[in-house]
Formats: sequence, C-alpha cells, structure tokens
Amino acid sequence: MFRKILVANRGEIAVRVMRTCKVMGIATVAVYSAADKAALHVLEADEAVFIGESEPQASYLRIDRIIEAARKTGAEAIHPGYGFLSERAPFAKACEDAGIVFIGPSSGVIEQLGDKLVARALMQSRGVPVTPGVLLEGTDPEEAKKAVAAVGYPVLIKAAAGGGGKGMRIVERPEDFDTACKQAASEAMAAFGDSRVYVEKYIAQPRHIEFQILADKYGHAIHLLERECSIQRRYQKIIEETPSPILDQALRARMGEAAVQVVRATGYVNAGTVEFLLDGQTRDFYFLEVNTRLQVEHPVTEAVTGLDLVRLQIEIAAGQPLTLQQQDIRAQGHAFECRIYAEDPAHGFAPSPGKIRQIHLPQGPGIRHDIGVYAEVEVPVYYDPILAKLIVHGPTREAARERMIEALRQYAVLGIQTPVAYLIDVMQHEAFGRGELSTHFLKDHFSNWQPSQDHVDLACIAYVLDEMFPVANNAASARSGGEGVPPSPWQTLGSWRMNE
Amino acid sequence: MQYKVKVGEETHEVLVKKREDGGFVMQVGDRSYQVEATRLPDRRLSALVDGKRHQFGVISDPSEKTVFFRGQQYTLQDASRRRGRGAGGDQAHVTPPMPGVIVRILVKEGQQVKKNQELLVMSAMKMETTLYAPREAIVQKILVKEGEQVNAGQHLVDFADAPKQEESEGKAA
Repeated sequence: MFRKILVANRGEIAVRVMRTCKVMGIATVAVYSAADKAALHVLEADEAVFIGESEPQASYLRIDRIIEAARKTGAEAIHPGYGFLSERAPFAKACEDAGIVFIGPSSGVIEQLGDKLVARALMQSRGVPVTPGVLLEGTDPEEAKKAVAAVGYPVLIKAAAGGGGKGMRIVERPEDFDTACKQAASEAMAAFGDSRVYVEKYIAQPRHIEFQILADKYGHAIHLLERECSIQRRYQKIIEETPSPILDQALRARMGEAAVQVVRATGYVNAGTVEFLLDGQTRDFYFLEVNTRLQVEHPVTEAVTGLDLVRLQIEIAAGQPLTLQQQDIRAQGHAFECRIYAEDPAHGFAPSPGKIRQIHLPQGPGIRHDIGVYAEVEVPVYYDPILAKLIVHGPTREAARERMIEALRQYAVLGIQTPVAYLIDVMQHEAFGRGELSTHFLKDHFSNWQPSQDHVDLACIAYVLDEMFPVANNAASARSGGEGVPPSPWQTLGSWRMNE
Repeated sequence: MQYKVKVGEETHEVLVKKREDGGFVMQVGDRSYQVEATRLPDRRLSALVDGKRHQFGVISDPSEKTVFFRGQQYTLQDASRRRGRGAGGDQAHVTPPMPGVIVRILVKEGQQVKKNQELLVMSAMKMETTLYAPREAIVQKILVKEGEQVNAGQHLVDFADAPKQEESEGKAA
C-alpha cells in the first residue's frame, strides 16, 4: 500500500479524499494556490505544497508543478478528485511517465472515453443502445439536414469533444437547424478547439441515470448500482439520489450489465461512472458518456452500499484485487445529496463569493457533510463555487426526503448566499415527492422561483433579541464554526490570543 | 421598549415588555408572543417563542441584520433610523457585491443615469454580473478601469444628485 498520496485538488473533495487516507494510515500532501493558503484542504493535509497563483491555469491545472510537488514530497500516488485535471489524459500520462501512480484509469482509456464519439461507437459495438444520432464535421449543409431529418426532430446538438453543456442546443424545427448548428460549432471551437458537433435525438422526458462501476487490474468488474441525477439546472446536477424511483430490478440489472461493458470494451481499471439517458415514458435507456473519475455525487452510493469508494479506488490503484462480487452489492435504504454552492438562487444563481461569517450544520441520524470551508474563510472567486455537500440516508425514499428537508432547514451558511431555500422548495415539491423526475424538472416547476418568507414575525423577534443579547466576546466567536465544522488552527489561534 | 423594524418594504413595530421571570412579552404588529431567549456559544440565538424552541442565525452589520431561520433568510433594518427615502435613495456610490474583474464600463463620467440602468459588467467565478444604478443620478467619477481587479465594498462609481430629483418611489415622508 502507498505510504503517501498527493491530492491534486481543493475544497470539499480534497478534504474528503484525505479523510479516507487518514483512516488507511496514508500520509497526505495538499497542493494549493495563492487564494487557498488558508483553505481547509491545506489545513487537513500532513504536508502542503504551494503551486502557483490563484487562477486555475497557474496552479491546479499545472501538470508540471503538481508532478514536481509529488516528487519533492515523495508521494507515490496522486488522487485527482474531480474537475481540474481529473479527466485529462496528459495528466495521467505525466504521472505514468514520472513513475507516480495515477488513481484512476490509464491515460489511454481516459483519452479513448474522453472522445464522446469513440465512447459511443465502443458501447454500440458491445450491444449497448445509444440515441440515434449523427456526427457533423464540415459536411455539406444539405447532406447534414438530410441526416438530421433521419434522426428525427426534435434534436439535440452538442460538442463532439466535451461536456458541461457547452455548445448544446435543442432544435425543434428543421428551419432553425442551420443557425443553431453554426452557433454550436463556434462555441465548441472556442471551448474545446474542435468544432465538430454531434446531433442526436432529443428525448422529451429524459431522466439522468448513471451507474457506478469498479474494476480491478485483473479484469474483475462490478457495478455499485445507480444514481438518479435528473434534478439539473442548465446541465448542472444539484440533487442526486439512489435508488432511482423509476428503476425496477429487471431494468437495473440490464443497465448495470450495460455499464460494466465499458470495462470489457476498454480494459478500464478503477472507479468510473457510466451515464445513461432514460426515456421516462418508454423506459428505453441510451448510453450517454463515461466519467473516468470519482463523481461529486459518489456519497449517495456510499450511503446505501456502506462502502468507501475512495478507499476502493486507492486499493485498486495499489494493485489489490477487488474482492467484492456483484451479488454482494445491495442497497440499504435510500440516500439524497444536495450540493451547497456559493450562489444566489434569487438572482439568477449568480456566484456569491466572499467571507463566510458563520456556519451552522444539522446533525442527526443519517446525516453526512462533505465540506471544504469553515467559518471566517474567504470563498475565492477563481474556482467552481461548490462549498459542501449534504448527504442524507434513510430507510425509505420518503424517510430520507423528510430528513433532508429538516436538515436543510437547520443548514445555515451566513455571510454568502447559498441555494438552501431553493433546495428545500424542490425537495418539498409534490412531483418530486412522487419521484416524477426529469432533467426538465427545474425548468418546468422552478423557473420563476423566489424565496418565500413565512416567518416575518419570528425574524423581527430575532432582530430584537440580537440587540438584547449581544455576542459575548471574541473567545466565543473564535470558536464559532458551529458544531460539526472541524476546528481549524485559525479558530484555535483565536482562543490562544484570548488566553494570553 | 419599542423597535421599528423594516423587512422589505414593510415596517413592523415590535413592543417589548420584560416579564418578572426574565422572559419577555413581544408584540409584533397586533400579535403577542411569550419569549425566552439565550445566546448560544456558537453565536446563534436560541429562543422559546410561545412554547416552541427555535434557533436563529444572525449577522449584524452597521445598517442591517440578516436573520437565518429554517432555511429562509430575512434582511431587517432599523426603520426609526431611516431618513425617509427608499432603498438606495441616497446612495453616493456603487460597490461590487463580490471580488472580481471589471469587464466593461457602460457609462461615462458626467452622464445622467436612470435607476436600474446598467453601469458595469464584472466577472467573478467564471460568470458575468451586471451592476446597476441604485437611483437616478449623475455619474460623477468612475474609479476603475476595464480589466481591473476589484474587491467587495470598493467604490467603483461615485454619484452626484441628478439636477431634478424625480424619484417618486420609496418616499415615506
């Protein structure tokens, strides 16, 4: 087993990876940018290496500096987390060349699956259904129109080279196709340096269902059931759950078997996620793409399976055989995850960086927090605004949903805006309660959402009480991270000052 | 003791009477509440209101308090200290809500602007945000350049009053 691992990431995922390393007795190395000198992941690590200025291009995306940091500290393996370099084949390659273990699949597999068209063709060759579609690359416009008509309107245009919603467009009518296609191609060019677009059949009530897979170096592969991530805002998942309310055992088994085909087709090793689109009306499913890394929403899988996915990733990377068999994997109860971003849902979800003044976290049975911040820390403007994830587990979907709603009501991040009020309203929506989900859910039900204020009298009472009961002293405020927030040296430092 | 608290556009009067046992009777508008309260070590307020236990998160700034309660957020101001104008009614400058980079400046010095007119576009967290005029005014001075890094609270634009104040909104006087 490794003695030391470098975590090439920041925020809650870096902290989460380090927690597992600690359990396994593995030393950890953090890397950090100028904006992250006091970040929680730095305080959590045994060692920390400064890798550059705040902009991601100058730090967290600098392959050379991260490899250098691993060399300097003697880290034998690198965990990439998600985002940043996690799905960049050149990074995995640089690790391989430097003799450092990349905790993930090989650079060759990342490259193969990173190209959506290659991935699609691979899966198709294994008998996995894909949505009818056509690749357009500099094709004659009339030919293109014919090919698209064969796919059947409405269609979805997307960049062949990348994800994240860039270049994506829905076209309802043939007469709108040319303009949309040109725009998509130019966006794809700007974002990925590749103007090829892919046009596929658009499904009216799509549900996003993904399967967690695990494969060891010896060809043994299993799946860890599904996650439903249909609650999305502009292709960004915000609430995830498992099991999916729409899958029955037979469909689950079929989709799981399809997911594991990725391993057979590519020689995939380590954890990965195979994403499918499920037609909510026909229950037909189609392969979408493979994410060759840990997912943001992996904790819901951990909640129902009782497994530690990061631990399994590390064991597989270290060459250990995966001893779990498919029949060992059973879901216990139901889990939800809500993503807590620094954003303002009342104002178009505008980013809301700044100083966190207080954090109060819910406690109770079945509640897990993955957090990358603490009270008094400045949320930087440079990175993805995810602050934390709230994961709730319960014996049934309804029990887990009730727990999540109450947990969100107790959740308070003071000083910046978060979507907590919005998440409560989504979780409480009747259609959500019935499991009637689709990737259009938020657009259909929450386009004009505004926060409600049901307790104005109590807020007035709190105002007056705040005047009458002033915050006692600095010692209290220095320890005020709220229960559940790990005490940081900064907070401890506050108490020392008081005790001088 | 009496407080006048403004929430949004509405002003609420809170009448506070001390009970002999250390508790309070608080009248908010025409409703009366029995209140007992304590400050928790984590800075929250814990209150028993008509026999129900509640926890409030409160942050206190010079001009307002923000109360967090059951996932909802309330901004409250001391209405007795206000000088008769609506929100932003006498604001003399524009400041960014968050640190970021100025992308575009859409006004010139000396220009007269209307309330809610676009002034600047800034970029923060990979997204563009527009800053608007808080009131009708004249742009007296622009204190930043395009491409400049700015911090939350920094003055970006200074205003002078427009020659004829036609503001009809928000006058309480």
